[in-house]
Amino acid sequence: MSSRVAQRMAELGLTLPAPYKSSANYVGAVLAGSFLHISGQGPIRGNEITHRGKVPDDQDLEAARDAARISALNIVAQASAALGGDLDRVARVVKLFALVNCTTELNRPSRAIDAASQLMLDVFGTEIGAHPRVAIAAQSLPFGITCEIDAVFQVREKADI
Amino acid sequence: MTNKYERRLTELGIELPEAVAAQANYVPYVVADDFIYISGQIPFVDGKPGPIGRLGDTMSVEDGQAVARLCAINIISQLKAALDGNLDRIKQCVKLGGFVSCTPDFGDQPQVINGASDLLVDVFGDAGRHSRFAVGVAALPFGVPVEIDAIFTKL
Repeated sequence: MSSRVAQRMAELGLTLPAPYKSSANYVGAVLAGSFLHISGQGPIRGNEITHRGKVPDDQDLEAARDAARISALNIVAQASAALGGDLDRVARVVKLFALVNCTTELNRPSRAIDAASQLMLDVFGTEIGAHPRVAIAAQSLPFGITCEIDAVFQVREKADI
Repeated sequence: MTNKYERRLTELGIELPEAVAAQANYVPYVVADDFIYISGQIPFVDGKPGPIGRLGDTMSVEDGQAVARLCAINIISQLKAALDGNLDRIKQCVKLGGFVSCTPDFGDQPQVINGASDLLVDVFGDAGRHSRFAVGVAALPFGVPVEIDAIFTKL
């Protein structure tokens, strides 16, 4: 069976990273009924932080967009792990809650988070990937990461291909 | 076995406070089908919001953890009210949103919020294992250092 989402990711040249696993007392995602609640994800690859510091002082907007894209891909990785690798079970991206580590000069954190939203559209297609969202400037973020994005997905039992 | 979570709270020496009323025109929780959405809970000392403080400045990470634990206890009080006094009807803690009032260079929000995560797992076991986010903010209501909101499911 060919996976629509996996095929789209291959076309985009995207590889799913290993989902980040915290040593603290929480988990990467919880499936509650048909809603998958995903923990806040940051710009981390292979347990290394890729983007640290504030926008625009330490990271320019383009770097912040990269950080948002990596965070969004980590959200997809958590969803894949929670759904037994079957991303076709994602029925809808219900919400993104995005935090950008900013100095007061950055008056539009949304411009960084646009890159995360675009990744959801690219990976899941417009019908499933289009989502409401919140994008705000945070005073600071864990370990000084440049952004953090939390997500809720609606999922179905089995993909109806 | 009934009242298993109440017994666990007693073992931990925790006496649940009265569920705190909302501070304005909103409600402390909403039950929507199987989901319980709980408003952001802050710490109270002697009936007043407190302690007051800011991480990275006037409050240590350890003290912040203790405050996060107080927030989690207040979340459990709201849950009990939402479930007509029967905590055994809790199915799962789905998500915690952790807000930490701190300086711009503070990065230990996860350690602070662990105070709440650890308590929920201590009390509810696997049913307490949740997803979460932690964020640093410039200020919180009444100057408290931590505010935590939550989503649970019920049986």
